[in-house]
Amino acid sequence: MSDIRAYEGLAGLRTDEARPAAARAAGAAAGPLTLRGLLRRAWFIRLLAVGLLVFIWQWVTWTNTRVPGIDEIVRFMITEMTGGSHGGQLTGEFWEPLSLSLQRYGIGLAIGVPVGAVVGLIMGASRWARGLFNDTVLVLLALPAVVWAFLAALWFGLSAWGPILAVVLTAVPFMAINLSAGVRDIDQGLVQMSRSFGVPLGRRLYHLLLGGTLPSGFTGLRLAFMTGWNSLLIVEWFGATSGVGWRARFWYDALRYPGFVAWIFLFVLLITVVDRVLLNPLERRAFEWNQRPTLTFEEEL
Amino acid sequence: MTSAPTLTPQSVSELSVRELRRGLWRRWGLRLSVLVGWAVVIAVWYVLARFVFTTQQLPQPHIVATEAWDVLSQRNFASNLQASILRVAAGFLLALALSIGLGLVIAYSQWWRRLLNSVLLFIVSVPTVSFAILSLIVLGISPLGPVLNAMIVATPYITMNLARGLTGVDRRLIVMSEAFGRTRAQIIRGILLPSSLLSILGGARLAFAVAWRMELLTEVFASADGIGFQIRRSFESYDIRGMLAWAVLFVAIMLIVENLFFRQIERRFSRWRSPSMGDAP
Repeated sequence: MSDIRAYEGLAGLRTDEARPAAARAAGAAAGPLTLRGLLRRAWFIRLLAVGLLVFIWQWVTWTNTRVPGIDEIVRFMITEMTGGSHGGQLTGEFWEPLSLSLQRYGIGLAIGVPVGAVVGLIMGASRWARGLFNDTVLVLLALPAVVWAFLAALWFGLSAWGPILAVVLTAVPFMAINLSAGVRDIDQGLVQMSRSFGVPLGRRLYHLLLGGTLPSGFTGLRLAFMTGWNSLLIVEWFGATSGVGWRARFWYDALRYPGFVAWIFLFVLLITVVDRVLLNPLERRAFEWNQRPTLTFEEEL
Repeated sequence: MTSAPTLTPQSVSELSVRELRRGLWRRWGLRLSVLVGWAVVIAVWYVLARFVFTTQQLPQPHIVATEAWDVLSQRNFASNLQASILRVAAGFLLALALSIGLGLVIAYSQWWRRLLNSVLLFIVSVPTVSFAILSLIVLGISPLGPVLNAMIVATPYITMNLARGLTGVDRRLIVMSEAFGRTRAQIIRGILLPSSLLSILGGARLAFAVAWRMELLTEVFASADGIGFQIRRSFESYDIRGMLAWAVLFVAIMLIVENLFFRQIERRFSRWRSPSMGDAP
């Protein structure tokens, strides 16, 4: 069943939070602040990474006149937030698209994640159900979000249901496929042992099912969050008159590239914030009892 | 499982009949469930097309199928498919070349690993639509955009899996072969490649899936040919039939490449491993 495992490949990419505390402490080793010591600090390396990305962006700016520099982008965003005028075009519409998009995103995930989780649990528990759903889920995974975006735009016109539907449809297969793999990864020996020792069903469900499916559940959740946000933006770009994606398109159509890029930066910023503020603490809490079992890079060597 | 204290010929044959029936049920029942799954999907599609949406909004499955067949038999299809596939292949090969360098650096230097990890993690978390739109501003409508975007999104997956494969190699094997005076080339061929190959292939398959979708999305925004462009053109002329037909073909190609190409290679290279690792679904 390696196809199901494939989408967990991302899990290996998460490193910082999953790293054991000892290694993290070693990364921020105390000592005199020499250049060598500085180069080894974790925060400095992260800063360097950010610097690298900024440099790449600036380099593109210098070589291409259509790409706005970071200063321009920041200035535009500030004007957009505080309200002002950009050559007669309306600004100050910052919070409304943002809150609308986040609402749609929230509703879509609130529907899609539980549905996907239930489908995944059923798929993991029964071979029959797996045969029934597996191909559908794989096709849903393979179907690009643009297609949903276009369909949603044509079905629902410019209403809010298109974006919500797109988020639901992207969240469901990721949750389903990862949870079904998680259920099958549960140690059958433990299941049989707990049954023969007469552990009550509730506790068995809690410890075995929840404990066993948590890692893959989080992988699915993270993928659902990331891809859901992506398809929301695509739908809003093509078929909405409000929301973050629409606002980016508005500035794009107006040939105001700084505004457009500012909103794109905002997309990235928002998903990073959601990841840091929502998913990471949740994940850390869920794995407090145990080191996170997915592969991390810092453990090796 | 069943206690059979007296093994009369009758009980043995009864047992084997039951076993046979169970085996048959297991094998054919599973296939049946797959068929039922497809039937349910198609039935739901029919019901939706018939009772919920109009034909302009959602054509019935057989209409889409005939449309897909029409598209397949046009010359138009071959040229668009070729354009898309060449771009994905170019992007993928560029990503592979880049990843081999990055993966080696990450696998053998902790400092570089820390630095590049955060960069690659950032690239993965950027919504793909932003790459697509950015290529529209930076490069305009150009065939280079899909290639570069496919490269950018595929690189983290290949790099990470390559590095994971390389760091997972049993160090003692290398030390031992050095002690026995093996050359560097022999070590690479005999130890490093075989033990990291499966991880690399897993990464390549995932990277292909990601790159293929990214390429399509970029074509939707910034291209004048290719499958993505055709989907967009159908959308803009309210031709849902054509759009679905192209989408169905896209998904079919993606599943075929994944299952026939990558999976077969993976199976071939994992034969020497324990049988549980390369099990067929």
